[in-house]
Amino acid sequence: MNLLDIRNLQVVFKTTTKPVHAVNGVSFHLDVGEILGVVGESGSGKSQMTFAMVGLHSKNAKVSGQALFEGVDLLELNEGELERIRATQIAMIFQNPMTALNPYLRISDQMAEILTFHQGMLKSQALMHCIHMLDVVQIPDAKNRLRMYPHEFSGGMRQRVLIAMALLCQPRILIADEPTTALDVTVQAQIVELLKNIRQEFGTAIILITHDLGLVAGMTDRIVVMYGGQVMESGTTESIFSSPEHPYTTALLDAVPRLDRDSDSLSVIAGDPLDVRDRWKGCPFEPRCEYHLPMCLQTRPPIETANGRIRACHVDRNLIGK
Amino acid sequence: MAFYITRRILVAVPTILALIVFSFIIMYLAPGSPFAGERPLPEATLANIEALYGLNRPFYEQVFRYVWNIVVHFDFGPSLVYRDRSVSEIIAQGFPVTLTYGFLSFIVAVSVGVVLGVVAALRQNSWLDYLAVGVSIGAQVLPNFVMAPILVLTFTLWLGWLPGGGWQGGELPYLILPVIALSTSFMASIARITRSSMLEVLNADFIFTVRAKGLPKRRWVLRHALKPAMLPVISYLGPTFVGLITGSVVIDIYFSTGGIGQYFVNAAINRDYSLIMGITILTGTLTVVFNLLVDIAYAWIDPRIRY
Repeated sequence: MNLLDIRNLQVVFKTTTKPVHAVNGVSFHLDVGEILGVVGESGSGKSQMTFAMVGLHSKNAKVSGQALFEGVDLLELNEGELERIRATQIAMIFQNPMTALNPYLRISDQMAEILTFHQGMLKSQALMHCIHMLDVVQIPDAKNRLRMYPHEFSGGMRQRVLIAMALLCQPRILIADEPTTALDVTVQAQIVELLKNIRQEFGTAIILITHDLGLVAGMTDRIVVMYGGQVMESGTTESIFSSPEHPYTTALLDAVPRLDRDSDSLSVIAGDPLDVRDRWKGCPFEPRCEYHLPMCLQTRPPIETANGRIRACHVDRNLIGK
Repeated sequence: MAFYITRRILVAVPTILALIVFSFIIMYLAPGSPFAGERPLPEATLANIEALYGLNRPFYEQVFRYVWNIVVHFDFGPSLVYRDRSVSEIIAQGFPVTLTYGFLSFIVAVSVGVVLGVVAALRQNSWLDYLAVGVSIGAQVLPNFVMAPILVLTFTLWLGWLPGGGWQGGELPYLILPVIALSTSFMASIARITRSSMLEVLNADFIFTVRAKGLPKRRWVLRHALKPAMLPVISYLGPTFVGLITGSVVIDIYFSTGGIGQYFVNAAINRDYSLIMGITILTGTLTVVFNLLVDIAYAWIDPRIRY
C-alpha cells in the first residue's frame, strides 16, 4: 500500500460568476520516505490540491475524489480528525516564512502548543522537545532562541523554525509549498540540504511543490508535472529530465536559463497560463503547444502508463523533443 | 520599558502645566465676570471682592499664584460662585458620580463592542453579521443627546420601567439609562473596528499556519487572532475616553445625576474661573494618564514595538 494515494482529485470553487476548476482529476501516489516534486506554473493547481487533501481549502471549494492516507480517505474525515492528521501525520511549510509565524507570540509558545495540545505534554517537557527540534534544523543557541519573537529571526532562520515546528510530532509526510521561493539563493541551498537530511534522519516523505526545476532536479525522486489542474506527465526525476515525453515538460525544460547556451534572451513558453475559469474539453495546454493536433481541442488525452511513467498527451511520444 | 514610562511621566508634567496656563489665559481674556449680576454691584464693593480673590493683581502674578497653589498645596482655590465651597469639595462630590457611570460605560462599550465585532467577523456574511453591522451603523449615527431623550421616552414615559433621571447614590436603575446613552455610539464604533481588523487578521498567513498545525478554530481565534485584532481597538480607546468625558457633560445635565459635567457647564456660564480651571485640569490630567496607559498596552501586545 502506498503511503498516500490521490485518486481523481477535483477541486471546484464556487464564485459569483462561473465555477473555477482549480484541480481536474489528479491522481498520483507517494511512497514512504520518498521526495516527490510537484511542478507547474502559477495557477496549475499545485497548492490547492494539497490544501484540499488535508481540509485546508476555503469554504467555497468543493472537493471530490479520494485522498487515501495509509488506506484512510482523508476527504471522508471530519474537522477534528483532520486536525489530528495535520498536527501529527501530514505537516506543511509555506512559501513566505516572513509572514507565516505569528509576530505577537514567542517561538516557544507557537511551537509548544502543538505538543501540549495534541500530545498532552507538559509545557516544560514540550519545550525540551522544541529545543531538540531547533537543534535538528541547525538553529544555533536554540535554548535562548526559543524565547525570541519571530521578528528577531532572519527569513532563512524563520523557515528553519517553521520546519522544526512541522516536524515536532514526527509526521509521515511533509508538504513543502514553495519553501525556498522567498529566500535568497545561498539560503535556498541550505534549506534544500536540510530537507534532504530530514528525509534521511526521520524517513519523512516530502511533497515539494515548486516551479523551480533546478530545485526539483537536485532533490526529488519522482516528479509530477501539472498544468491546468491536471497531471501532464510523471515519472522518476532522472527519466523526466533525460527524456521528457510531454510537450509541456519540454517547454518547461527549455525555459530554464542555461550558462552553456550563448543567448541574450530567455526562452519562454508562448501564450498565457490557462485561465482556470474556462472549462476545457480537450487538453488544457493545447493553445500553447507547438505539437498540437486537431483532436487536442476536442478530447482530453487519456492517461497512458508505461515503464513507470505516466503521461497525458495525444502526440506520439517518439516525436516529442526531437 | 521602565525608562520609557518614566520619560513619558516627565513629559506629562510640562504638558499639564501648559494646559493650566493656557486655560487660565483663555479664561482671563474671556469677557464677563463671575460678579456681573443683573444689577451691577457698587464700584467699591466690586473692588473689594476682586481684591479678596486677587483679581486686581497683575496678570503674571495671578497665573503664578494659581499654579503655585495647585502644585505646592494641591489647592484649586474657592469657587467664585458657590461662595461657601472650595473647588476641591465640588470635585470630590461630583466627580465620583461621573466616574462611576463613565467607567461602566467604558466597560460596556469595550466588552459589548469587541464581542459583537468578533462574532460578526467569524460569521462573515451571515445574518448575524448583517445584524451586527446594521445595529452598529444605526447606533453610531445616534449621538448621546439624541439617544438620551429616546431612551427616556421609551423606558420612562412609555414603558415606565426605569427612572428618567436622578442618582440615588448610584443605585442600579438610575445607572442603566445614562450608561446606555453614553456608551452606545462608542460600542458601535468599537464593534466596527473590531470586525474589520479581525477579518484582516483571520486572512493573515500566520493564521493559515496555525490551521495547518491542526489547532482547532477556538484556539486560533482566541490565542492567535484576538490579540493582533485588538491593536486598532486599543488605539481607539484614547479618543473613546475623551469622548466619554465630553459626553458625560450632556448626560449629567440630561439625567440630573449631580455629576461633574453639570457643574462644568454652570461654571462656564457663570465665569466661575477657579471651578472651570479645576475641572479642566482634572480631565486634562486623566486624558494624559489614559493615553500613557494606551501606549503601554500597545507595547505589551506587540513585541515589535520598543520605545
